[in-house]
Amino acid sequence: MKLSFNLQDALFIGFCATLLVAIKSMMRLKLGLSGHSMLLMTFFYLICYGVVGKKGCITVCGLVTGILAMMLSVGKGGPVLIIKFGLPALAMDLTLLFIAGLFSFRWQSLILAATASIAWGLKSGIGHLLAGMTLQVALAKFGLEVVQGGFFALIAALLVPSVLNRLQAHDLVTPAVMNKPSQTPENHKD
Amino acid sequence: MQLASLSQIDFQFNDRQGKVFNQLNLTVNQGECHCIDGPTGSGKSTILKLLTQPQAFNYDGEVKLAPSLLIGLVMQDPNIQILRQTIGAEVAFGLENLAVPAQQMPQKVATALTRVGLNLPFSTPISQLSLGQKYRLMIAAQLVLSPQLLLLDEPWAQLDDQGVAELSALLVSLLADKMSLIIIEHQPQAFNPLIDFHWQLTGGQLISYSSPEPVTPAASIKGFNQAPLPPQAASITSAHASVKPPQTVSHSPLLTIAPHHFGYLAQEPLFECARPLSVSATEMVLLTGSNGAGKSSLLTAIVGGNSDVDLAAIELFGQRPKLGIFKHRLGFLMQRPSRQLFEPTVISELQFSLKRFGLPLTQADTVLAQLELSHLKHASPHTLSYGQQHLIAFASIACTYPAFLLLDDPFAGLDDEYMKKLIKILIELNQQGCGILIASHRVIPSLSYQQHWHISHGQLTQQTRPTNTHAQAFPYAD
Repeated sequence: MKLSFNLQDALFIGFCATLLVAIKSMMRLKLGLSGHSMLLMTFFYLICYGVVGKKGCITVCGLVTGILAMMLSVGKGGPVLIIKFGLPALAMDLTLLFIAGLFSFRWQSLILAATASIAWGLKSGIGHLLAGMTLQVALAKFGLEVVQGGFFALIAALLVPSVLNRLQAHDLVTPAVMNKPSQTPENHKD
Repeated sequence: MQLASLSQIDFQFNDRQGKVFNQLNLTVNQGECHCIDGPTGSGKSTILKLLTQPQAFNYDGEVKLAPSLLIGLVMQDPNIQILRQTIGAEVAFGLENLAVPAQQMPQKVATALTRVGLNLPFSTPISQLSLGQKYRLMIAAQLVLSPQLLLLDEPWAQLDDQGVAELSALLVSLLADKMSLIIIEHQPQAFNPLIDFHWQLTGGQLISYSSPEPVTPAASIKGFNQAPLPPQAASITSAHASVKPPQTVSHSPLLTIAPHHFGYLAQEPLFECARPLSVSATEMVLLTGSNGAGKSSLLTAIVGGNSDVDLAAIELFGQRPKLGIFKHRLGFLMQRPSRQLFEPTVISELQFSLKRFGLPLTQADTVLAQLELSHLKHASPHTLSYGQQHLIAFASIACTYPAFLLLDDPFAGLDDEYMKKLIKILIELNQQGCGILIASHRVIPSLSYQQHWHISHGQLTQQTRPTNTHAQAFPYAD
């Protein structure tokens, strides 16, 4: 397992994090739909994974996003933003420890999106419990949020392969894991 | 003095493709002019990129550049090199980066523009320049930095005859000043007097050959009339005919242009069309004119792509041109093929229009086979060479079998073999009832056309030309 990132990887991780925060801050969508923030988050995390393809890249991207969002006051929560962005990213990386190389990139994306949604719902659930909500209600809210967040995350996961395909066709990126189901990220890009 | 050398270069883009360079060698000394010819897509432009940015390539071998060597590069498509809005700012861009004092810039910029024959005010918007003028502008933007080595990628295709003559004179003076040149060119005859070394890029190696015959109108496409068709092409023709049987062809005009002054609204007219012109379904028309004469503007107006042009005098299929209304009856090949390529693979690019208009998807394979480009089926059209992009863009239009084709400089970047294939398909389409209007800088002697329109001195006129039937020009055509 190779954890070190080269300059190109580091720049791309930073690029994904910055673009995610920038788009969130510019759009400030008030759709009234719980979970829609999972669309952008999942999209950029999976793009980052598809291009960099190294273990830990999503977590680093999530932490950088959280720190940037906290510093620029994009969203409410202060330091909690690091957990908000970092937890789904960490969950995705942990899942990859078990599934990397077992499935095609499209299926990996869908599984990672589902995992990220659970982690995202978990963060809200813990928040609700800390706020004094009963376990029964908190669980119901958790389930609802996982479904809502999961819906948007799955849309993002479906978009990512074709977006990476087009970026690759224009010679803008060289995806590390896409179209190589038999290869794990780390053995592909050493 | 040796300026640059490539020694034993091995290179391939990726594992799926073969070697582009196989033990390639090239040495360029001060004051030498090298010309590299080779098939479309063989890697000629890649040699120039390797010289200018060797660090961007993962190659085996050695690239040696003289210390503090300054290299100027003018790419095949000058549009991708343009950074600023006006010609003065564009030429001054390099000077600004080298921190040349502002008061010295106007003189240097004016000298560079004069050397390439672009005597226009500094404030002229680049968007108003033709492709050939942009090519000269990019040469000026390089010359202003006084490079020791100048790399030119296919200048002949982008320039009109006068432009080629002016460029040749300029290159002579540069060589006299001990500048070195590498020219990538499918028509090396055009620059014969300048060239010290002729190279053919074949099998990933540069093979030296002696100077070809000077260019003459009859031989401008080498051996075109004499060369027999490859056997597979003949069989493809039969297969194609079975896909699209000859139709009953109407002789009524598809395109009519009434007498008028053509130009952009609130601007001086580009030219006057004094007599009515028309193109019928059985005709192939060649439109010639120098760089900036208004050929591309006319073609774009016929498509309906110019909203700031008065279209009252133009009718296509009996209608005033408007973008989108003609659907697959009209095909338009732009001068810059990259502007109309957007899909991730060649086959999906061709199938896009077929799906949109509910046409058989097999037509894409047929046209690719006719052009002998089936091996590029799953390649990205965005990473192909300029010539290959031209062919793919053409194929994506031709596979819908339009009733009228507008082709803006379709032969740019093509070697003789691909040029033959392209012309053959054009003839087949024409025989099946497709009206064709081709814009070009110069007359293409081996192309069989029924009308020749020419823009000169602000006049669009119909030239007289001896009848040249398909059978005469193409004894092997159906």
